[in-house]
Amino acid sequence: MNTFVSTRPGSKDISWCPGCGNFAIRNMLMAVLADLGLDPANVALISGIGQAAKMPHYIQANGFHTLHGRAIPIATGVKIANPALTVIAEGGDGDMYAEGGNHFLHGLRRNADITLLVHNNQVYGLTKGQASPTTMIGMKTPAQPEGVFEEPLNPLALAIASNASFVARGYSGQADKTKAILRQAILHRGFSFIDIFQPCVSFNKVNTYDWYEENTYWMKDHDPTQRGAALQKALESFPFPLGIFYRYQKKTFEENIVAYQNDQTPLSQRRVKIEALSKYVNFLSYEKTA
Amino acid sequence: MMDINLVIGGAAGQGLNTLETLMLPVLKEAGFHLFAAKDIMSRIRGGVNLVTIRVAGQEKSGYRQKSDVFIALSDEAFAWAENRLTLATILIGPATVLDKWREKWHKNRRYVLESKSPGAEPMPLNMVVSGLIAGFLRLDFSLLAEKNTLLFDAQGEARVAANQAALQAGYAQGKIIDGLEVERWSDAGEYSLMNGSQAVALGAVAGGCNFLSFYPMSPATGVAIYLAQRAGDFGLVVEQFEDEIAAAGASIGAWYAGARALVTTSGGGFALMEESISLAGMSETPMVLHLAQRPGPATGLPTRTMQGDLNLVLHAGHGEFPRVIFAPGTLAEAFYLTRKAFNLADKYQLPVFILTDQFFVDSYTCLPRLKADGIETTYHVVKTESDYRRYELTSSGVSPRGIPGHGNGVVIANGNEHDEFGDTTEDEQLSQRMPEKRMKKMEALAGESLAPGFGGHEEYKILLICWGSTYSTVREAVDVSGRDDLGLLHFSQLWPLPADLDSYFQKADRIIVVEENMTGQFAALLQQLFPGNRFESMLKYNGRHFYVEDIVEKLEAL
Repeated sequence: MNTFVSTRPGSKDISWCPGCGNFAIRNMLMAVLADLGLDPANVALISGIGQAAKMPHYIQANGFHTLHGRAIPIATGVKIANPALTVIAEGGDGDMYAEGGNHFLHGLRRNADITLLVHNNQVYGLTKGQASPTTMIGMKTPAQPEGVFEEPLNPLALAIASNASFVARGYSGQADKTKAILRQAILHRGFSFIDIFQPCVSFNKVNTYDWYEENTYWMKDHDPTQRGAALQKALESFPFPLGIFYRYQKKTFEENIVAYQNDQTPLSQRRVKIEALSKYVNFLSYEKTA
Repeated sequence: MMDINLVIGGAAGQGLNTLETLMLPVLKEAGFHLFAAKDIMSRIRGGVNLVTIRVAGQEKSGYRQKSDVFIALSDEAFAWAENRLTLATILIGPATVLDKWREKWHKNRRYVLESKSPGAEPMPLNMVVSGLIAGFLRLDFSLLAEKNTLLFDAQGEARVAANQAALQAGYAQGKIIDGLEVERWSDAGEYSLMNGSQAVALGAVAGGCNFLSFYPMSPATGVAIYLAQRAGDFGLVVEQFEDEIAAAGASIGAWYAGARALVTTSGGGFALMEESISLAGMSETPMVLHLAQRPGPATGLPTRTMQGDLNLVLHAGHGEFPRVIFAPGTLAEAFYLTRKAFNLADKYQLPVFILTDQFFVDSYTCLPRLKADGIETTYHVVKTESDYRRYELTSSGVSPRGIPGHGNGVVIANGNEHDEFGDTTEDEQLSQRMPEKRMKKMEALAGESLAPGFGGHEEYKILLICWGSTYSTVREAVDVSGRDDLGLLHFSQLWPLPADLDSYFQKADRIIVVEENMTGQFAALLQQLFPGNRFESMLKYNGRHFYVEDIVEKLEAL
């Protein structure tokens, strides 16, 4: 109980490169989950595809390693089935912002009580170094030999514009402050989104540890309840602000669902309602017209 | 008369849907057997929509082409529906419509529909027609009045009163039409009335469904709408997702965490869901998916019908994994098989598909009252121990299924090939044993396969085969044809098929598979599985359901 270890019986080697930012994020996550007194049996890590998405295999908790870009809807289904679970959707920038871009936008709108953790290394690692939606203009890759010219996506500004309920950015090289954000995100009731800067030591020679140290800073005196100011902060770059940008408490998806307003029993424990069914199977059916 | 086939044609927006909504319960309560189908264009206003209502004194659910009474509310409807008319068809419509077609159909009995007294405001035509139908069938007017109040009460007294006046005006006109009285049906009280969407929806609830995810697409949306409006009563969650990909993903997440989830879609939406189906196959997550077919490819004919997606469902998803496909032939089957789909998906941890089509989901029919109590809904989730292995290798291929939060163990599911704990592996031996474990389930599933239903003559020379929604129509055509050398085999489970079908095939000189697609998809499947026989095809693929007459004509020519 209350232990989140990194291995299982039969665990083999870890397929992340030495020095990868994923290790630091994993350690933060394990520490925060333990610190919150959660039981691994009541935590579910739902990931997509990519190096970051391998996380469920490197933390001993419930996990589902799903498909590229699909972690958010799948995590939403998990949360609906059993709201008592702590549900974390996890993946990289390509996973969540490219393939899963539509789900990202609608996950923000839906506001299910899940935490979205995006490992943002500004490059595709699993497929060896192509540009991602957050790769900076000018970066040359084998697939973009003339340099990236598309505008990088600004996930924080998008989230704040969508009136998302928790929007933050951390950095894998700054564990303590990032852990504090992670803790608040998990405790937040509603969809909490954290973009975590993370160096890719193998395929991103631009956004290195040194680069992040030079190009980021922690916000001071920022009031995360002010949406306008939050958006302003999210538009800042070089240096990029770190911290909690925006926080807005509103009804969660689960709280809006009629089936949960009448009855708190998780779907996973519900059984057939024979009475309701009897009423309808022998009903002389017709619908009211609009 | 034993039955009359009533066809009503008009433009979208003229209120045919409301007419159907009002009249079907009235007719049912008056003591008739009913079958009603829709023929609709993909537009909100205008065009031509046809409603066919077969009113019978006995159980008759075949789709007849020729109408005994045709009520045309627009010129276009008359033109569009000419293939539904004979010289015996009674024609009813506004004078402007009837006059235009007088020359060609001058031998037919005609009645002019009056919806406006001189100097008065016109009345709602659909209500006048409703009253007229009640009149010529000699119904008790109070039934109409009662349903009118019940249905339109929420829209205010003025609406109810206006309808009432129109219904009365129509009723008086109907009363003077003779010869259309249909005998009452003694079993009416033992039957319910519903459409295919409702039968699937209620079957899902009976199977323990408590989560439905979808993205709107005709004709599959009816299931979602029906359940969304009763979500509180049934205690289930209905969510419209941002796309079909999300809808299918959410369903997988819900099953993983212990819910019983249904996805409803049509072919185009299903195409988008294929990666999730593959994920269900690899991760051994149960899944129940209702696919209401319509003609493709692409957007095809959005409001019409086809049995063109069998191959899609049979082969959906990349890679190899087991699955089950049901195709109900009657509403009762839709209810019981959808219920069963949940139990099978849970037991074997794989995708189970329910294949219907536009004709099936949008048609109403009377069916023997369904049994809601005494239902055995079996649940297969186990409480996990701390050393739980989600993909434990077992002799049956079925690993005990744990869910997060139920027991001390953790549940690791994976779309990558995996070891017994669920962790990704490329181990040479496991890479062979895990697919074998998954496919092993087919053995037990084949043993549980539903045998096809047999009808017709025991000593047949020609064996007709049909599947899914065509059952009632083909069945009636076999009866009507009067041939004594016909056998009929209807399949409501399409995959896996029972192994012992050869005895049916070997008795026949000819085997003809009736289906609504262009390439004979089920015939090809049978040919592949039972190569010692020759399967011919009888096909229709213009987006319309077979008529009884289509099949009778083809049977007579054999």
